Amino acid sequence: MAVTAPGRRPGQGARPGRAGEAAVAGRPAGRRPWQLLAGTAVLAAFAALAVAAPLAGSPLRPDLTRGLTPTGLPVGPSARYPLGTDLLGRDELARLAYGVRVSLTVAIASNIASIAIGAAVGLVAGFFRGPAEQVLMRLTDVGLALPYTLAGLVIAAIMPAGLTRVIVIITALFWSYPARLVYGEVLRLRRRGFVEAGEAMGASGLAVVRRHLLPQVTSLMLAYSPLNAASAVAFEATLSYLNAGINPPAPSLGNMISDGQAAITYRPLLVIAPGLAVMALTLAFLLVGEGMKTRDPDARRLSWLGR
Amino acid sequence: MARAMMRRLVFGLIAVTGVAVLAFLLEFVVPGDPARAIAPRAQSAAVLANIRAQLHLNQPLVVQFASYFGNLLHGDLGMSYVQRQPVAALIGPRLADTGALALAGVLAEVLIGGTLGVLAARHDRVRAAVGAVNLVLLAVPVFVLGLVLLLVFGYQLGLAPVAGGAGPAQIVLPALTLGLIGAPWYAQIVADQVQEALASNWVRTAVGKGLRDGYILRRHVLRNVLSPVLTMAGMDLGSYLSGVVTVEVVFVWPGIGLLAYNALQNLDRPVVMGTVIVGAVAVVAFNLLADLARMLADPRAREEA
Amino acid sequence: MPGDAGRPAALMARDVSVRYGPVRAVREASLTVGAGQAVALIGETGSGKSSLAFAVARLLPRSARVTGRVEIAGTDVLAADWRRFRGERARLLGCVAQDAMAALNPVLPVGRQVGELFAVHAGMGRRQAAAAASAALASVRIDHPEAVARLYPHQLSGGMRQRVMVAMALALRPPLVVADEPTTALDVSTQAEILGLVAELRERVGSGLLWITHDIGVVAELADWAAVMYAGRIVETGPVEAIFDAPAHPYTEGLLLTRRDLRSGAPGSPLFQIPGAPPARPDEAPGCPFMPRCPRATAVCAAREPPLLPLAGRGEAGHQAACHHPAPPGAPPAPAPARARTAAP
Repeated sequence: MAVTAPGRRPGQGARPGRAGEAAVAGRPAGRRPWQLLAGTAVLAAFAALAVAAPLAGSPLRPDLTRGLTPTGLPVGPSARYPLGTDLLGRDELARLAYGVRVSLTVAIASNIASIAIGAAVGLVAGFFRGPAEQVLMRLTDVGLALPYTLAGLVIAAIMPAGLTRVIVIITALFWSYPARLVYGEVLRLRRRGFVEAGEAMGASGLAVVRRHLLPQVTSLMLAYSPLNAASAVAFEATLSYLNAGINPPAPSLGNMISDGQAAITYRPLLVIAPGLAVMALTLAFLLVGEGMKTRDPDARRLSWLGR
Repeated sequence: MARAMMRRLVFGLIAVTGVAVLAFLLEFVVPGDPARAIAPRAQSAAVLANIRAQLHLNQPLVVQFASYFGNLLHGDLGMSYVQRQPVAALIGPRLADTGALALAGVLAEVLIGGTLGVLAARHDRVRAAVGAVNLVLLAVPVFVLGLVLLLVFGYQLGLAPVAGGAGPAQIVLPALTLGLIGAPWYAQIVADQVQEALASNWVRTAVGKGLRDGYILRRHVLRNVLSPVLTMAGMDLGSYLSGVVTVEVVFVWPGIGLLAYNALQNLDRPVVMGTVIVGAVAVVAFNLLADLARMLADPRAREEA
Repeated sequence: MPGDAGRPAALMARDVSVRYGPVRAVREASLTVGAGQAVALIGETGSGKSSLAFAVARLLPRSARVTGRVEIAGTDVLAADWRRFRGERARLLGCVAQDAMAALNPVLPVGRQVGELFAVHAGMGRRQAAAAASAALASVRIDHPEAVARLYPHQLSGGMRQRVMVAMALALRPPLVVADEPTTALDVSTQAEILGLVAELRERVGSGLLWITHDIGVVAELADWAAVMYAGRIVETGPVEAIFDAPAHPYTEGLLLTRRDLRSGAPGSPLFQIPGAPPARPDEAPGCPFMPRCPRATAVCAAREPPLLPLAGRGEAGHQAACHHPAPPGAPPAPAPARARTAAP
């Protein structure tokens, strides 16, 4: 009965780790390769957009002649500006492309960093046990219990705005869940006697870690990383929306939504386009995570009710 | 049971103290001069120095820390730099508004998630649909969902007020946002538990006793699901009370989260620390209450404790 | 078959088969429990005895396909509309499950679980039902029934939980009680108590009893009639004395020998075991499913599965066995030294 939801702060944007778990709710058996395919396809499209961003034009230079109406309002979609312009007359598509670039960069960098730190913490705590275990796991508990948004805002206040700040915040808040996962896995392997057996056969501690623990931990973290990335994308957008991530004029999906909110009544596309982009990115990562899972083939459900 | 609760209470107090220390230290790392925040147009250094002296900011960190904690024990959270009011007086009314929102949000997520979960557990065809809905709800960031609801129900359909103030009409959209974001977790846990129950021997016994499906579901099955749901709802209530920053910012809901957000933007140190500490107390208190509720709902948990 | 002449048989099952997908768990089993009679259904794990018992109660998972004809006290069970039968079932039969802990709702007081029966089927109010529940608990010799009624299953001992199950099964005085190895999870002295209790109550209420067990020892104390199941079929049936004194099927002989060795075997002497294991898919091979383990097997056993037939030249009426080479009456039940054989290709 997995009742406890450590560090879960719904309503505050980031929910590292548990995102994928809940997504499994009520699924029939069998592998779902289409999910992997769909997720990868969407991610590839976004990657292409991010790489081709410079082709779309400048995300920063306002076009005062054709980017704004004579009364100074943003223009709607046209051949020149497929998504129209923003309130300052800048190309919305170019900004979106650069925003996706930010999202993907943050997802990849903070994903690698948080999983590396978390895995190291979990491995050390689970392998050496003793005082190291106590200190590291209590720290992990604190990390899991933090209110993410508020903690993110506080950290943001002590750093200059920019990509580095976002990556640092997300890494600082996201390492604890993989640490807990890896720690649990190492303990499980220990119970099954991997460590003792290895040491009894004369292998050094390091060799045991490398040969018996690392492969298992690596596959666990590979399965977890898409879900982690999904949470990172959503949290980056939240931070930037709250003025605590990438600050204007540099574009990010989150601050584009925040800017667009002023025009929500007459040009909702300025909120909808970046909003859909964030959702599609997150969903794509979640789908990849779903597709990578192997499911219990014998999950036939039994119910005594109804006929 | 009482001893277990005491133990948890002590751990909770330690956690709150830890959070308070952490908040205090972090605040001192925040760059920016509070004196400037108070008097942004003050030109002379003497004026700024005077303000710092009034706030005891010129004293060593340890002294400030000791006096802050001494006051804290008396329930005094200090004065807001910017608003010139006791922090407790600022937090008080906002706590009520955040409480209303938190309660409405938890109710919404339990209702939405519980319904989805029961449907998913009972009907194979609904199951895949619920899974898809869950996935989408998990993918959408809170503020995007909030804005979409605002756009559709507020601006396009005109069914709900768009922003400002805390009233029964204004609470609908932010509560719905919280409910939809939280629903997938409840859906999952309810679906799992209901499914497990439906396959259990005791449901077979109940069927053998000639009870109707609806009766079995209500009296037997949901009774079993109650305790994990109550635990989760209690924990959510605590964490929402500690400030639903994003939702409150999107809907301009005048609660703790918005207060903390604005205080951070204004370098209003005492307010930030006050909200963080009140939030920590809320989390700890409601986790305790959640445990208590679980014990009331599940006789087995009573003995475990 | 014996039983009260005036009342319809408590259970009459004809050619009942149960299949789960391609697997046939029960094959054309026929069984009668006369009114007020106690019948033991004996078999090892996987023999299909529980499938047969729950098929009779229509309490099998949806994936199970049940064919044949089942009547409980004259009511056709399998043909009845599911919704209507669901309401009637508790009046027709009571079930005592193997694991009472799993069969009781963990978060409801046991009194409520017993009282529900009266509330639903006798239209009693809350207070009346609670009183009736306490009376039912008292009838299974639970002391302080009002206090016990307020307890949850995990607060009771294994024996007490099983008593609660018995109280529920007999609450509406059904014509049939199906008990699925209700004593296996209990210690020996509690087993004896439950056995005695069931025997006594059954007589008082007048219910027929279908007692499922793998322990042939229980049978002698409790049942009038016995049926032995092997690989989904009933291979021998008859009055308990006949089966004990003159078993005809080599499998029954083996079961009895195992037990005799357990009882009287000298310390240190090897226990008798039936060699081999039951077939995983008995319906695939054409011959007798017991053949690979049988000391008397011949060519005909590999070719044809023997039907269940009355035994010629036996004194006991109704003694039947499904064997090409049944033991002759009066022969000592001592099979030849175990020769493990493999199935004919």
